[in-house]
Amino acid sequence: MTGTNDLSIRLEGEHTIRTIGETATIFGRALHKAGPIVLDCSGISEVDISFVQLVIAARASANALGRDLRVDPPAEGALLTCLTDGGFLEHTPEIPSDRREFWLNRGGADTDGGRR
Amino acid sequence: MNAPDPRETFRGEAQDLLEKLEEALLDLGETPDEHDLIDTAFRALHTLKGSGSMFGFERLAAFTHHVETAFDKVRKGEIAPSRDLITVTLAAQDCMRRLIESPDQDAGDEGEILARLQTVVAVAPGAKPAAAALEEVPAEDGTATYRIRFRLGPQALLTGNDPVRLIEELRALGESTVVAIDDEVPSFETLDPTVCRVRWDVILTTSAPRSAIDDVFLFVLDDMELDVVRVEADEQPRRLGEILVERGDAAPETIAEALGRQHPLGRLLVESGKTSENQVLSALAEQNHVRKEAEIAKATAKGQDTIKVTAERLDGLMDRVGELVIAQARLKQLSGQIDDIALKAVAEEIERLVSELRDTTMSIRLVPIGSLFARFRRMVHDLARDLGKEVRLTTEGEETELDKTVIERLADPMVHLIRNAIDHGVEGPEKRAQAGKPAEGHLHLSARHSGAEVLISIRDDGKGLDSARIRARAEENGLIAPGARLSDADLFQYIFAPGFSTAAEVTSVSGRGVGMDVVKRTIESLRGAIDITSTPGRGAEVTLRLPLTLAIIDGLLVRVGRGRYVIPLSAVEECVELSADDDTRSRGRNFLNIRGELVPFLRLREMFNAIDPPDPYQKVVVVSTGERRVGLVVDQVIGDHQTVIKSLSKLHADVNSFSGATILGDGSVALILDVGHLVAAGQTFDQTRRAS
Repeated sequence: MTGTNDLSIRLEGEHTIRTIGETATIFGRALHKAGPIVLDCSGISEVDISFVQLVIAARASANALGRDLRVDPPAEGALLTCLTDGGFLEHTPEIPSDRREFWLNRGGADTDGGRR
Repeated sequence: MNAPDPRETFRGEAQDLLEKLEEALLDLGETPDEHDLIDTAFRALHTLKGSGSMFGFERLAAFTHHVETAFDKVRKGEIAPSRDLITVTLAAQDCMRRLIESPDQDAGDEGEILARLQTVVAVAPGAKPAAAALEEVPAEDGTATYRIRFRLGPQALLTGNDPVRLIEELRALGESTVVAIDDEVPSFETLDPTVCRVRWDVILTTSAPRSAIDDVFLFVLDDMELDVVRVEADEQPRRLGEILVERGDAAPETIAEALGRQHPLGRLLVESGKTSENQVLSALAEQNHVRKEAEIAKATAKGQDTIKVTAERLDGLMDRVGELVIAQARLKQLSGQIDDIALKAVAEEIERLVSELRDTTMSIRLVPIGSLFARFRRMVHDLARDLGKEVRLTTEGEETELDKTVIERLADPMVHLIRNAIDHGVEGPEKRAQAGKPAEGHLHLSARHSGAEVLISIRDDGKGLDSARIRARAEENGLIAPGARLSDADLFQYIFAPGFSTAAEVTSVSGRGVGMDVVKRTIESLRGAIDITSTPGRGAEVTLRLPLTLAIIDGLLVRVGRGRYVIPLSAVEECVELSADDDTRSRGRNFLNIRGELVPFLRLREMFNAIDPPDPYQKVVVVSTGERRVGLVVDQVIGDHQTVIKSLSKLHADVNSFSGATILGDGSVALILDVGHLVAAGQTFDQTRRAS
């Protein structure tokens, strides 16, 4: 859900290594403004690892500034396929995966740590 | 003991073979170049024919022979596994099922299917040039498991190399677990977005030779880091700490220090900041992968370790354990009344053993839900085709286990919910294109544990539920007052009302408003509940919340007046005392302030018309039903109780506040509260009381 102070970035079309410079500019502008950033990736038709990496970096920067960056609606379509195939959503029952929660926009986490 | 009927044994095995065949055919539809799938389908057909003939299923054997011949051509690369061939083979599979059930009756369409098969084979295009992988010599010892760690060079992305595509090629070699390690991705300010800073850990179990892995990286080998190590699939999988040390991701002293604190190691390492969450996740994924492969290898090598037991015997065993639990409760009560230390010791020992026996027996009855999910693949395939839609089915959490009876009774409601999702939720390709969505719809089935419950979700990316229309229809049917304020979650519950439908047109699949009420009744009869969420234009998600088992539960025994009742412990959040002040203050409002949160409560004494004077200090048991928390005011909280659920008789069919009964240690009966119904009934009761 988007709040009134949220800065919404809606991305559409291709976001791959070919266009990553333009995508980075969009993120750069957003990071210079105030308030939580909400990323809407539902219009993305083509995506590769360069985009995934860019979002991870932007999230790290936003968090360092004490700002929240979230994906809403949850990753779907081409992005979801890239994340799944690329091993970004792998999880085990023993340990919650923060990034899985991030990409799938799920609150809360599962259980305690791994076996000794 | 009677020897089992060999024909029945064959029927059981034939069902397994047909399921394997169906799975292989559906997978082949998506990846027609996958030779393993072609081999699996061929083997299933071959075995069905051979065993069928051996056990006197001659019609089946003769029919299957033709299908097997067609797949032999596919196997030899003479024809390609076309979509038409897969469709007709699926129809043939249905025919085989009928020939197994009624071997002496004409299946009706054998001739027609064989004619279609002949046509499809005659016009089938040739297969692609022989798949290289098939001709390669597998490793000497069958399969091997490798840990592959790689990182692409700085120029890799710019020169058109896609790491995800490399991973896909690795996945094609066998069973794999892939974890991306993104710990080294810097902050946005310092990131060069054209340089891949993510690296990957892949655990691969494959029968392909080691050189096949190198071949995947052939064109990027000069500009990357690649480390391939063979991992032994021991029967006793290595511990997390051992894997992390071996990989160089954690120092031995770090592990030793963490172990000394006696907390889960993975959590400690992440919290210490010395090992990243992704590194622990990757090591755990390897541990799980290797363990799974070892189990598969063990099961294959020692087939005699697995025996088939009839469901009837399992039910009988569960009944006996239930009786034992009741007898043990009696023993516990008696030992409490007699001052004999030796008797108490024996009673405690028996309590422990009974508890273990109960858990073991219940675990025997647990079945992975994957067996249920697998059934829906064919249904989704056929239904999407019939409705002219494209739907991709994905599943998650197939290994989640549920009681056999729950799985069996869950099949029909899930069929109904999936049909509804595809028919009314997922739009046709044109409408999806207009809405800016991919032509192919997505249906996702998932299962996961949450406390003592299993959550099963059916999620689609269709148009979602039309809350305005549901409201209008609910008002029209007199189910809610016009303009009544309701949350979407509450509003959506009306789609389960008998005869409720908002569908503008009735299709052969759904839309008559018949069935959703049955879905709800079935889920409630399993002591479960249904939650619905929906986002307009983006899809809907139906979540079924089900208890792990139906036979024995952990309960909280309470007393109201003279009666004793059991509240399922899974629903209990906490117990608090209702002080005289709170009691006085709450009069007329029935709200309790728990740590700043207002929680409504129900007085069970009033609901159950208890006439004895109340205890001076009333207790409140706070239970949760979905998102609602409600307090139940009781006279006394007696304690936990292993509760063997006995069904109520037909005479009590209309009593909704109780889901069953149980026998206590002294032989008396305690009713088990149905928390969901009780809250609903309590609200009605409260509204009536306020009105009067």
